[in-house]
Amino acid sequence: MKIKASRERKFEAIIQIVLLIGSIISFGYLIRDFSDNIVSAVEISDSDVTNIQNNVRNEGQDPNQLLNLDNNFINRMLNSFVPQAPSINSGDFLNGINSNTGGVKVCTKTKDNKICQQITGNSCQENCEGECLDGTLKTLPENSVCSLGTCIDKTEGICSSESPKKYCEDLGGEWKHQEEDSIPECVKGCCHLADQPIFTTEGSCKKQAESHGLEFGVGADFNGEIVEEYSCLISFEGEKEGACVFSVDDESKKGCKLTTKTECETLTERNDNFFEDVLCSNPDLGTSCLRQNSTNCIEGLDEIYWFDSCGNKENIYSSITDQSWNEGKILKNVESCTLGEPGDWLKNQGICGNCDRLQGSICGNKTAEQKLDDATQGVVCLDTSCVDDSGKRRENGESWCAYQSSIGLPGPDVPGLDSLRNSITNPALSFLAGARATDTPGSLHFRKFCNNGKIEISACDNYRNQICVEEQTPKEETEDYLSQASCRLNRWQECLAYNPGSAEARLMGFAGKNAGNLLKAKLELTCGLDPDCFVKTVDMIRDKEYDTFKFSYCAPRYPPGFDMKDNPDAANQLCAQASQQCTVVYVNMLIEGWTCKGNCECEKPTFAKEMNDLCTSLGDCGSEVNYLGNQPGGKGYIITTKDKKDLWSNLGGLPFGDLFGGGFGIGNLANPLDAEPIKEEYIPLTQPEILDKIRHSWIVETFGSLDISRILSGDADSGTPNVETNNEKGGISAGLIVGGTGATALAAAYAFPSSLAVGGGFSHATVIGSIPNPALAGFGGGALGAGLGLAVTGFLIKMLGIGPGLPAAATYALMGTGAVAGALVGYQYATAGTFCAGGPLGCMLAVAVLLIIVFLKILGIGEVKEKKIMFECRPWVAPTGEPIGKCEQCGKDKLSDGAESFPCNKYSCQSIAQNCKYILETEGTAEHGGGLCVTADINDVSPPRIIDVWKDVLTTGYSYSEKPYDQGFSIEKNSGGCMNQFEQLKFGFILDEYGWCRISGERKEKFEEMTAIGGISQNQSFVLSGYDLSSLSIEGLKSEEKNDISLYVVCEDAVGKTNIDKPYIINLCVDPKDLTAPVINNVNSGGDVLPYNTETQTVNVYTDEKSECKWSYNEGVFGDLPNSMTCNIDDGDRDVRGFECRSEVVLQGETTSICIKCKDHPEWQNTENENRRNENSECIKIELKKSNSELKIDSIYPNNVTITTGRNIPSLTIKTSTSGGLDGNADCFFSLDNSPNELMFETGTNIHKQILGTGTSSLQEKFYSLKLRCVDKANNVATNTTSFEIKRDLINPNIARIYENSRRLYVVTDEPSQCAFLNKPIKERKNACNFNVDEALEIGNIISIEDSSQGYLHGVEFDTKKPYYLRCKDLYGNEKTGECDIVVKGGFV
Amino acid sequence: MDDKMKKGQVTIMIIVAIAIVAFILIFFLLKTKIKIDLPGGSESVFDYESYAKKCVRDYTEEALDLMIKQGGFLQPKNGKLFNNTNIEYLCYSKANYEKCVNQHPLLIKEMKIELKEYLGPKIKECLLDMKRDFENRNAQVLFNSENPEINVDFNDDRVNIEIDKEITIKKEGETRNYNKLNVEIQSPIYNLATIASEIASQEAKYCYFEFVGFGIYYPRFSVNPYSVSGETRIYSIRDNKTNKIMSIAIRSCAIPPGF
Repeated sequence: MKIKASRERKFEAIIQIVLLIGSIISFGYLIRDFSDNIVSAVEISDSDVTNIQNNVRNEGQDPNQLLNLDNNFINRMLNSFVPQAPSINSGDFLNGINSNTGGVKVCTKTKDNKICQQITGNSCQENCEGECLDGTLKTLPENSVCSLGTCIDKTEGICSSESPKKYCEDLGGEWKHQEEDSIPECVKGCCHLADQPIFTTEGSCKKQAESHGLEFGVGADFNGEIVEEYSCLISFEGEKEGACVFSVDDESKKGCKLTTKTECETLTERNDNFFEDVLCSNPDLGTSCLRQNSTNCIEGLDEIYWFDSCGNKENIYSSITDQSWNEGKILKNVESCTLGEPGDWLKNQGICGNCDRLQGSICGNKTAEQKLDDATQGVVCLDTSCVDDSGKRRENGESWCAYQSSIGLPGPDVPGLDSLRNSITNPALSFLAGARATDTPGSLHFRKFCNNGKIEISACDNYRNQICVEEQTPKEETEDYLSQASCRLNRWQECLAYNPGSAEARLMGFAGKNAGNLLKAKLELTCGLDPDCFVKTVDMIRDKEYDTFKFSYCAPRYPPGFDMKDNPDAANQLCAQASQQCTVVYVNMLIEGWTCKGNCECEKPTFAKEMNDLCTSLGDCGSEVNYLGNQPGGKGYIITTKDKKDLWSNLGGLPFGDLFGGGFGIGNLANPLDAEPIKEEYIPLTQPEILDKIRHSWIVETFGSLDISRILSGDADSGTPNVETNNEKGGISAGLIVGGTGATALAAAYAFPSSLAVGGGFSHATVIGSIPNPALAGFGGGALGAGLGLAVTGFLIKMLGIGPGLPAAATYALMGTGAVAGALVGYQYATAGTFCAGGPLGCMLAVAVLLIIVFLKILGIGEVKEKKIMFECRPWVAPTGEPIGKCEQCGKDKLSDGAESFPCNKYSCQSIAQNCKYILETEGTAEHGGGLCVTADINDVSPPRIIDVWKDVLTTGYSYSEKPYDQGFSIEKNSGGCMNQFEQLKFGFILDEYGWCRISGERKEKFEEMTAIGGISQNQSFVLSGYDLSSLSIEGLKSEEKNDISLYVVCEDAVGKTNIDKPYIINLCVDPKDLTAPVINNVNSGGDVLPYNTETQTVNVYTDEKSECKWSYNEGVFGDLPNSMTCNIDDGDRDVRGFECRSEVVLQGETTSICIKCKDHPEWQNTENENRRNENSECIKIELKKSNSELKIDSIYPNNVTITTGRNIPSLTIKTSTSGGLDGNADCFFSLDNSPNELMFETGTNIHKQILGTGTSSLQEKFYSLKLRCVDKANNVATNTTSFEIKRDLINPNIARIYENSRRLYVVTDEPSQCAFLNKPIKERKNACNFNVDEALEIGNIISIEDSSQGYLHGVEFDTKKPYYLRCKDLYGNEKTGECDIVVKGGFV
Repeated sequence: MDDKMKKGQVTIMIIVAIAIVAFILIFFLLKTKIKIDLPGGSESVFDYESYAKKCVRDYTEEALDLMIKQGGFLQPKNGKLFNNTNIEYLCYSKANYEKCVNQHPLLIKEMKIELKEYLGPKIKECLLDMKRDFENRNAQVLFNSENPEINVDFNDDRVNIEIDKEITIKKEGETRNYNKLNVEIQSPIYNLATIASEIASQEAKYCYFEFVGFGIYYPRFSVNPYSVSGETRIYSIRDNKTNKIMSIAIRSCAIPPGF
């Protein structure tokens, strides 16, 4: 027994050992199964980190290598939040371009002669003629030939920014690396020239002063303290003006001119007849000029001025005339009447003429609405402001933005609202949710501005590559604001760059479940702060445990448009950024059968809507209305299943059942409201520097001072996710379910939940996730058999894959049964030494569990099916099949400022419909990018059809035939006759589509051979001249009969269809019988006013037919007119004006009136046809008016004078004044020494000037003859001849006498001079006479000129104890060199 | 013959004589009226200055008009064809989205040089024509050098051309010497080029030129930009005083059409 017992115990012990080992192995398996995942994750992370760090450090490495990292975990994670793009992906795309093109280089000179251009390294050989420098323009060293800086043109005083060093220096410029603003020579200030302020550099000021013959510092000066252009322009005060009185022929009257003192002295050659600040009409002066005779504007000045009877400008107009006249003294602008006040700058428009263009008014002719209260005045301060279409007043120069559609995101543009929108999932708040860019295809941004009372519009660049931004500044003392707008670059491409590239995404991937949030946070801190971008989050998570489809993406706030006709590939690539795949998971459940368990939202309309919102935000992609609110014409997106390539339509019953039929039918995804611009909508100006800060410091701001390597190493601040920490959490979670089957997948799913989205891991996660924690019920109490049963059951469930289909209760039941069966078998064996012999219950249970599991497997319970739903974002396609006339709506849309028109452009036109064709009509309209948009249906085989006649343009007295117009139409004279051969007939017709038309009097084979009617239009009109029918190939008309003629009209549409085979025919008749009297088309009588001394004047008239004409001073019938005119009566004598008749008319007094009449058919004179001739019954009256007085040259300078100068002869200004004639104004010519007459530089008024001896022309010491010839608009001529002599004084002044009187030393010179003295030598000079007069004057040793001596007598206090070294200099700078004129020592000479 | 007949003959003779004298007077008067005023014509054989000034003026005005239209250059080497006119780029960036590089940092200087090079051979030819013309009229014309020295200067509202060439003209014992000749031509090219240079600088710095404000500050000039395909801006600078329009091309911060 002992032996038997011993054997049994030994066997029991062996069994226990086996069980123990088995248990250890089982637990070991379970533990390994989970811990392997942890270990593998960590290992992969480490290796990846190493790789990525290396790659990040190794700039320039092909980014494709990064993409080639083979790591399923990471790839799955990336796919969870980085939209899959078939071809391009944000930053990697751009980096890829750089690395694939050889990087950026600078070409010093391209083959097409551009200097210092950045090109790709690979294209150097092909494009660069010069050297290819490494780097970019910004990174070139300072001494590089293409280094950019400021180039200073010292001669002109002009600074040019962004100038290449070599090209500046080679031409003699001075190059500096600094910005223009920091270079003293380039700083602008206020330059005051003689008569104008200029905001420029000091160098330029000097140059301009020189060119005007002004001495810098005297006639011109520069004030560098005025640094604002506006301040400069308003700071200017010219030389003071006053009355310049001179004598005229009649000594009892004095002439007067309001001018400057300098000019007065020149004009009158005297210096005692200028009265500063006094008006010419001041009675104290005794002039013939009467005050306030008229008002008018002055070119170059803003205000309305009074003028006296002599034509002199007076003070600014005010209806209070005495106040304006100011007792005959000049009144400054600021002291004149006030036109208005802030808020109403034209308050006193009716009574005041103090206009100011910088405050919105300028002198101009009165209008019906704007005039002075005094109706006799013809001018007024015109309001240069505008009123926009919304009724808002816009100041002159004010600019603002206008948009064609809603812009940016829907609703108010409130900072932070984007994030809020992204987080809203409640359907009740859906109107706020769903951030998306709303700019519609075809819409542009416009800049409008008020320009001298007229609103002008300027389109920002096509395709929304520019956006209009606006700044609104409150106006002083009003609630209104002033807008300044500009079109700036739409930085939409930067938005794409905010999205992580592959390497960055991989790094974030190690944040595990938090990676999506980290990305979103990063984007909110970068993209979210960029005014041109927004963070679009597509969130399909409704069940946080199982759903995974959620990602964020930085998209343009103002999406770009595309040129689908010229560059469709780029559009395809960009739209593809929003193509994404969602994996929906179905599980075969034990009771429910196939049931959706994960990402179920992807099968609902919200998926299509959210994805379409992303799609449309990237550009002209997806399902969207055009700017007119019309539906798209093609598949802006399609949704397909990946496993089945055909369209998936298993979504019956959803609100839009044709969802998977593509974007074509999804009208409710395209929001028509997007096409409605919001009034007063605008984008505020932003500072670009902010963006730089955001871009370069987001990591620092987000993670404090840590860099990316510290984050990766887990050394970041607490709370910052890192790989290790995250995996530890995963381990803990997984630890809770150790013992359960399927823990491997579960661990992976918890660690990297994003892998569920597309990687197929979801199925496991869902399945296992649905299993309650069997481990909690599985392993305990030391019952090895139970544990073994539990483990085996779990293993079988996992191995056979039925777990996902089992309800929790069933799983518990199976595993519990397995545990019980194991416990019973173990117990049986432990107690009986057998497995089943002691009691079959355990074995039966075990077999039953096994059979159930096998049975469930056979039923397919737990099977998982994935449905991969692919959203494919495609370029937006313009509507098709739009009715005729839709394209023509281009330019007639409503803008955000209320305007109902804008310049139609190519992009807008092409977005209206696919059959719209853009035509740049004329250069004039092209100025703002405007053109025509016409329907050009390639399927349209019909030429333009005449649908109506154009009644508005038809010449009075004619009518068209009635419809139909299929063949053309007829034109008839209402009186029953025909068009006569001297008549002009205008007619027109309307086409059913836009087209060009041509006309001919005979059928032609080619369209081009016919005569063009006009440009492309639906409304066509033509003027037919009866006397010029031959130009239309209409010949051989009968002379005495009615002639029926046919005009053939051919039209061509935008696609080139013409009706050349079947022209429209316009029928009309022409009666060659002349039934009308001659018509005088043109009269030439020598101008409105004739010269004063005109005695006879030739009068020319031009008739429409050959005629005989007569004239008389009095009216009468043709036969009674006494004076015959000489007429051209040959066919060849006709010019464009007609047939000419002429006669000399002797003038009678100041005004002569004559009556002219003509009679046709001069060839029938005195023949049997005499009575068939037609004559004028009414006179053509002509008034010949002579000038009131002779044109006179009043003054000339220089006039018979000798002009003495020093060694250098300065420039000389010839000045003359005119009066009389038409109005005193004239064009004057000068001739120096009988040279050909030249128009004086400043002429056209009554003062004329010409500078001689400037620039390269110089005057010489000689005698000059000067001829002047002035001609006014009435052809009055005045001439005058004078002469002047230029002499140079090169002789030093001499001291004629020196004496002492009353302790004063007196010096008498032989010519006017300046004298000075020294008492001792200047420091460091041995010779006391080694000085010049200027040096002594600086010291103060002046010998004063005695008042009455006019420069001859000089006196100074005399100290006989001191030596006096005396020198004198004459007015022309002549003085002795190195010696004194005289030396007085000890009181003796 | 009786006395009466003799008196009649005398009367007829007197009438004929008067008619002849009248005819001669009329002939000369008419001849004076139809005189053609040509520079260097028969009455101005020594008038070198008139002859040369006309040449310089004609050639310069023709050149200036072309320069103004073509962005400041007679032969744009780096231009944009717009409305059949080749307009020089003053600032250009081949790369998209980049600020432009000033292509003519010393624009006015370059313009002066080009004008000078253009006028040189023209004026030389003109002076040779004059020499041949004068010599055909028995004058002797001597040049100190073959090529004239020409200086060009642009100033406010005018262009100054100086021809430095010593010329001696002799005829019938009389000798005249000429040295420098100055010609002043009214043209706003300096003013327009200054504005063009400013536009180029502003575009290089800011990708933008505020033409509306400029027009208000300086009403004499109006500037209008026109965008060609979103890539090139053509600026038209109009001098409202002379109605001359200078066009320049800029490619700065260019945006390619579409994506």
